[in-house]
Amino acid sequence: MDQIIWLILRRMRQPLLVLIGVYSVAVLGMVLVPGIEQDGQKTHMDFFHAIYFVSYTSTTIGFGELPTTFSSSQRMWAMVCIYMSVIGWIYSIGAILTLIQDPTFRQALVERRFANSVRKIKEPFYLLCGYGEAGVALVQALTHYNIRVVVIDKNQDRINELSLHDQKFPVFVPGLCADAEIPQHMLEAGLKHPSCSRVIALTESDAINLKIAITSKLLNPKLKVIARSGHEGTKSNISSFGTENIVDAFEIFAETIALALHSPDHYLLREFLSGISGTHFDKPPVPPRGMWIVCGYGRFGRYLVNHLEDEHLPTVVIESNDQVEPPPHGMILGRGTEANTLIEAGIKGAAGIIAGTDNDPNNLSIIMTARELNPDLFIVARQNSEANAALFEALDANIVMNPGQVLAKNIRGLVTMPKLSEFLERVSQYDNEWARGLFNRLEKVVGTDIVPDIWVIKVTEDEGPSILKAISRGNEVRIEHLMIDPYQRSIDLKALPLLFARGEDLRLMPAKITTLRIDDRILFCGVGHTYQRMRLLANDDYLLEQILLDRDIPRSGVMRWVLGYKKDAQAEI
Amino acid sequence: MNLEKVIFGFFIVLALTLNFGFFIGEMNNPSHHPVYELFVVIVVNLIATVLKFGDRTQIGAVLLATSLVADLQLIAAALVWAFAVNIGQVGMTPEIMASIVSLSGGALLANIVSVILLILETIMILR
Repeated sequence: MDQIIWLILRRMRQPLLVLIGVYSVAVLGMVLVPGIEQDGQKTHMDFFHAIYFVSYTSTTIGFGELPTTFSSSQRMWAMVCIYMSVIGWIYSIGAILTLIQDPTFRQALVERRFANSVRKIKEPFYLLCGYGEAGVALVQALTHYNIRVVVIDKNQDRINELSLHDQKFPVFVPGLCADAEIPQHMLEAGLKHPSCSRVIALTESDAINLKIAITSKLLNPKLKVIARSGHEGTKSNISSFGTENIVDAFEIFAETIALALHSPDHYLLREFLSGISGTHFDKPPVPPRGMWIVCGYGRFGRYLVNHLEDEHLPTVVIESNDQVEPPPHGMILGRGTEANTLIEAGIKGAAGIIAGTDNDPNNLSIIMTARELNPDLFIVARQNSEANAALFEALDANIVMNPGQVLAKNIRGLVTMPKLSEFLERVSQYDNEWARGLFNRLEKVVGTDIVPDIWVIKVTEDEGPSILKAISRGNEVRIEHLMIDPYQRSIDLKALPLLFARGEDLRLMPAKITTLRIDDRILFCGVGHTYQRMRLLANDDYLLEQILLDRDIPRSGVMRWVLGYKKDAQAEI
Repeated sequence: MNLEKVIFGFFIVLALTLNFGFFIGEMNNPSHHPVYELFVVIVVNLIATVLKFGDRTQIGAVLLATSLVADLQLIAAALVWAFAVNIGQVGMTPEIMASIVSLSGGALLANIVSVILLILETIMILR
């Protein structure tokens, strides 16, 4: 704010000096010049009336010759006053207008307004650098969960887009057009704000993401950092100073495909649990095992080929660049958009094709040609630009890979449900049959049409006070008690306990009769109002007591006395 | 030989000296305090204030503050004078003159502080 006031004051010096000079000369003149003679006495205007006259003359109001008619010499001076002062005012007003339009001034105003709106934030927020396609998808995902995000992007158009999208977001997302590489801008966006809890570096340049991660770790070490990076060198660099998560869309996608090929039910389980809760769940298509054709041997193609080969699946690579190093075994030179290249690669007998070049028209063309040659192919298409979404949708491919969406989904999972990744990691140690069993169980208990909510119940003072109190009183509280609907005790809530943690010990799919102790944590999944009911149960002593005793307890003290209810009836449990 | 510093110092000292000139004399005798002088004092003080705008140093901020104080007192004095002569029933009386002079005395003190700060700043540069 002081910067803006300083700018204004500096600019106003000249105009103000001119005004003071003009006014004082005019006023002095009006006082000195004699008025009309009265009774042979020279009269003069006094200062008060002189200032009055000059005021309404210079602002072009012009009441007239007050308090008395002017003498000729006064009129002559008045003319001089008029020209001097009106021009003086016009000059001053012009100076003010120029100042307001000055781009530096306006930029200072915008930055000030942005910094103020960030300072006012009271709840934990994330700082996002880069509002490209991944950024847009991520902000949409995060605000869906009512998480506040502050955005910086170097490109003014993108920030303008943000203010357009703003209508769609449930929370206000402040955005600033500034270079995130400059630490000052990161600070303005709230890097050192006490409520900032995470920094997400999603710009298109690895080098800038690296700089952002360094800046964050140095200026505010307690912040968690997620950085996007594509190159191995930068990845190891970024992780070397403790960045918590490094995300690479291509690597993530390739791993997902590998999982789907290796163990389809694990894939199904993962997709089901990591969706956006409350949305409809469509079973994702499972890629078949067999020979795969990969078009494009860039970073994306490489990851895919490596993972496919780990799965012992034969691959044929089509790449237009003959300088690629090291050339994969049996590589075919070409773009894959022509039929003869595809036939040479063996498309008639292939199980699936991946159009993974960085050029959308090429990818579309590859798919269309391939489909004509082999209509049963499993098609994976890489979509580089969000603008072409309609085209890829019309393509009706089995899987469309959009790097932005992949990153957004992954990061959303990381920040909103960290415990889930722990669970999935544990699950991955079991075989496919086990995963299918779990999926069937989920189908029976919570249904698999809608993605369930995932939450954690902790037996602690702030998150599960009623459970804590019940245990301290000596009651035995089991997991199955938490799964009873507090309003209708005969009905079980549609929930499934997934993970149980006591200290460092983790247990998958705990038994319902497990007794709870203080500081235990349980990961649940459920649909409908299960989450709200269970939360209520964890906080409301009265409801939990009813469930533990399995009978209705009168709420008011008076009724309890009337009905002779005694506290030590709890010993019955 | 910095022209800006010369002008800056000139107006600050001029403001002080003119102010002193107006102030001195019998407190309630109107003939000792000509109105023209008050006029000039106000003008020069305003110019000095505007010259102090935009100075980002700590001492610049205090200088501006003292100048604003002086302006405030002097404009108050002018208002009292205008009110007494044009609006009041009695016209100029020794009591009213006394209040005008005491207000200008206050402005005088503010201007003295301003000049002292200027001197200190100059000495600091010499060191």
